[in-house]
Amino acid sequence: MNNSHVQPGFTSSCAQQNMEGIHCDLLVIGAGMAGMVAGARAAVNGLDVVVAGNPSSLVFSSGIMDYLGVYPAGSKAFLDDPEEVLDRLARDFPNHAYALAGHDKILDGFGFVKTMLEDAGLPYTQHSGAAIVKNMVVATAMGTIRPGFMVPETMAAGALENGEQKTTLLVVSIKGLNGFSAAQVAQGLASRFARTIPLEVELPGIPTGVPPQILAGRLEDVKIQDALISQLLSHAPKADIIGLPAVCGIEDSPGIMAGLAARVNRPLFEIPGPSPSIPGLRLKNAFENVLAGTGARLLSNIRIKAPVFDGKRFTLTAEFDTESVQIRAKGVVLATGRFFGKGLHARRERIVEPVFHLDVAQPTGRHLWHDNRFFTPKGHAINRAGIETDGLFRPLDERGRPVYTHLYAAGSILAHNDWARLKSGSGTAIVSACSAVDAFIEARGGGDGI
Amino acid sequence: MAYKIILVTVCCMSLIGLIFRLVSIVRLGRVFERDRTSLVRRIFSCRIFFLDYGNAIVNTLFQARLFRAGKLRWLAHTLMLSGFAWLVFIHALDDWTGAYWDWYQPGIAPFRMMRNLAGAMVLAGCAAFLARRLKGSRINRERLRRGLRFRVRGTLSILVILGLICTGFMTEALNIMSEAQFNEMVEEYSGLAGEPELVHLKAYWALNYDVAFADGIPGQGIDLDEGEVFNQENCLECHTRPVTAFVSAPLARLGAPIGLWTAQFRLDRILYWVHLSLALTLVLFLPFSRMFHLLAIPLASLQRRMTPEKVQPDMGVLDLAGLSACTHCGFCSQVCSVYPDYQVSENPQVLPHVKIETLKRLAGIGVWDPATLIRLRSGNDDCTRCGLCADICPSGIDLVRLWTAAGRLMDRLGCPDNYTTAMDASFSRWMGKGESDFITVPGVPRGAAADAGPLSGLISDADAFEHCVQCTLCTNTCPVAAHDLVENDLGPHQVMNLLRLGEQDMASGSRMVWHCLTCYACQEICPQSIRVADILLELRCRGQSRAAELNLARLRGGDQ
Repeated sequence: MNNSHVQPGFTSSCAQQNMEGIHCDLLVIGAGMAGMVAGARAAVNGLDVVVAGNPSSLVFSSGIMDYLGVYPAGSKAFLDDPEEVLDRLARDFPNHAYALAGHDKILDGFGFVKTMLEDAGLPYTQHSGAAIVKNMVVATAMGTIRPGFMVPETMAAGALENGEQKTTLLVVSIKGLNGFSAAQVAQGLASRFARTIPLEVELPGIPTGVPPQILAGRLEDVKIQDALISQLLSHAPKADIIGLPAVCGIEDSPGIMAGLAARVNRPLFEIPGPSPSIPGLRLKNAFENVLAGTGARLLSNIRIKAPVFDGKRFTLTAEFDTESVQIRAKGVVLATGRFFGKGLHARRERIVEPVFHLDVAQPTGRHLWHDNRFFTPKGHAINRAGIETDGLFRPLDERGRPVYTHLYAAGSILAHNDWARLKSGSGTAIVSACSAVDAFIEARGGGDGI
Repeated sequence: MAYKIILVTVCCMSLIGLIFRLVSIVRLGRVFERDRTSLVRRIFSCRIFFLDYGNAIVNTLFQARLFRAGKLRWLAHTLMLSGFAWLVFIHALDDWTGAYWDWYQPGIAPFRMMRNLAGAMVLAGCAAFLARRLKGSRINRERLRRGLRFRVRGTLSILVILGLICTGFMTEALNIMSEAQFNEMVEEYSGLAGEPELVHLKAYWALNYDVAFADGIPGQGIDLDEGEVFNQENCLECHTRPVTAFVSAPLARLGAPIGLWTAQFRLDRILYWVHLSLALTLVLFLPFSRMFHLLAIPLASLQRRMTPEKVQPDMGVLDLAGLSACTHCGFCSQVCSVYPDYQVSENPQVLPHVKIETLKRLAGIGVWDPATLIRLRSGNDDCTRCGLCADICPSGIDLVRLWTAAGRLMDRLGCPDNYTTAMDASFSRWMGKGESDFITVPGVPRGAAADAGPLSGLISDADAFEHCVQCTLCTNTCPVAAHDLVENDLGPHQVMNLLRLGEQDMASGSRMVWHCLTCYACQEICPQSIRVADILLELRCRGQSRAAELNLARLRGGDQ
């Protein structure tokens, strides 16, 4: 490695690297769920990998990882077992990531991520029923329920069985934390429990409108925990199980939750709470730690521009706020996300992909982007727009052939996946990222000139 | 007699000046105090029994702090001070101090040698100081840049001392070779005047004492042995051979060719009077020149340092004494932790030793130039109160106290800090009092308001902030917001929103902007890659220059 002076992990300034640029096997553009998984997968497999992007979008994640919660779009019921509808999805959308990868590959991806996060101190839980892998059902801060394929361990105790439970739930909210009301959650979940009791606790030094991240930081303080416990203890005996907003610490949430649960002598669980989401922040931190641990380099807050392919390698310009650096890579995974992540850009007349200027599968005209009804259960067509790929997750040109041998696409940028509506965001990101990296490794091992 | 009358007069005038100076320190000291209290209360508030007398004594006698600050400069200063002290007590005041040695005579060996030695020491110290003053060192540059007046002011006392010592040596040299004085002495102290035997003594003195006689030494009939006997009988008690005057004697020998010519108009007397008047000038202007630091440093060294743990009551008297104790040595500016600020903004009022000068003037005569006051405000507000300047100050001035007191003084003079001004203006805007508070004042010189430094132009570029989706990640990650959730008014995301609403002035007036640590946590985490911290910083710069403009306009308006 001719740039061994570059520290693995975090690199936010590139002054030293300016002169010679950065060389790597694989460049992952984008540091969301797909980018992080791709970076980790590549680094674990011994590739010299650079992840360039903005990991902050992970903070918007609820922390719950979906496989497939709803199918088809607009159906009222949650899926119990995603595998059941996979064939139908493959028929409807043959280019969907799940259709390209298949159930086993998807499970393999989830397993990889679960192990990795567990090693990083953020354990996840899957349905622990029979041999069959199923969705879990968890409560939300709105008092509603949602499916989840893999949930943080701190939320696991609150997973609901389908149908009514014969337990009493104590929902605790913290005074000052906007967007989480114990009364609202208790009312919303009333039909699912024998009884729900709302409780608002007041913690010292927490004013109205406290930012969740700051509250979560304060809750790592033993004194604040004591204040919480002292107010919980008088109500705990009435309840079988206690739900808290998901703000119980940032660095060691499983440890803090276990400690709190032991002190009130009741199972405790977190309810994914107001935005920005603390479970999402934990996820971001865990992924960053994973990358740092594997020796992958994360170029944070960077914009990638002007890719050039010379037949062997990609050369791209990475721009920081005030300087730029050249990155040379043998392969590229494009995981830039959708409109919010600037992976797709909606121009007046059409949707474009701004980095490689790839073809974007999209409605034939702007008038078809959105349905006439804003809240249509079937979702808007624009949300299914995206990049179409072959089975190795390589973007295709107009003739249906890969644009470059080693350019891959992963994550929400892929077409035919209205992830928000189908509850399939994490699964798509994970399986496409793993498959793309595996394909690159395969091709490399196959000795076709890289 | 005339000499004594003049001396007493000068001393009286100097004493009156000293009293005037001290009274004005007590009077002006008030401007540094929070409350106007009576003199008696103020003296008691000084807690005179708890002052640091030990420090004052050690620092005055041995310049202990100067020794810590710079060994070379301490050496020069000590040479000068100890030499000068010797000269003052043993030479200038010999009418009184001579009484302690009954054998004291200015013309005999040990005293003559010591006088020359002391003079040489002072001369060496003077030369070192003068060289330093005139050399355009990093810190000195700012003073030199400000023209002749400041250059002269800093060197005048040194030049006078230099003149004093030089005329002293020259007078002694001329005395050595003066025939006229020889004759006067012979007439007064020996019975040889007019006797033919005098020629032997003359010859002896011409050879051994370097006296230059107009008609030379007669070649024949001279008995030097007899001259020596006469010398022993009449002269030796008061005059040993001048060889011990290791500066003056060579000077006399060197100047022998012109000695006879100058003797015609008694240059020795002229120089004596020049020497005397220079000495009296020093005494006369002691209270009003740099020399005042001789008295002010002990006063300033009495102060105990103010620390966060030990906040002390107002001691405006000592604060002002501190101002007077400053010798403009520049050590403070060499260690100043915001020196880089000066390098960027080129605002001299960032530098402690320049601030002191301005502050002294400000305390004395009030606002004489609003633009300078604005610069001082800006420079003093940039001070981090790290205390490095006070740590090194050889005069022992508690500079941190002084900077705090300076803030109060400027508040009183109608120049609140930029933060307050920007907040007030913004507050008026929130209250709907509107535009009239934030007007663009025509004719403001750029230099006065542009101390804020280079702006990057982000806040006037909609592209830089309009992509903000108000996700609050920045506010969530902000340590300033976390530190004080109640006091901090807006989070960074709310500041971005104000920008989107076109309310730049309101944004500049928010606490968030002024309390921002520029840790860049917000900018790192922003999912839209908005340069949040850079924008906050630029808003603060804008607030700085707007506030400076407002203050300047207010001060100018007040003048009319």
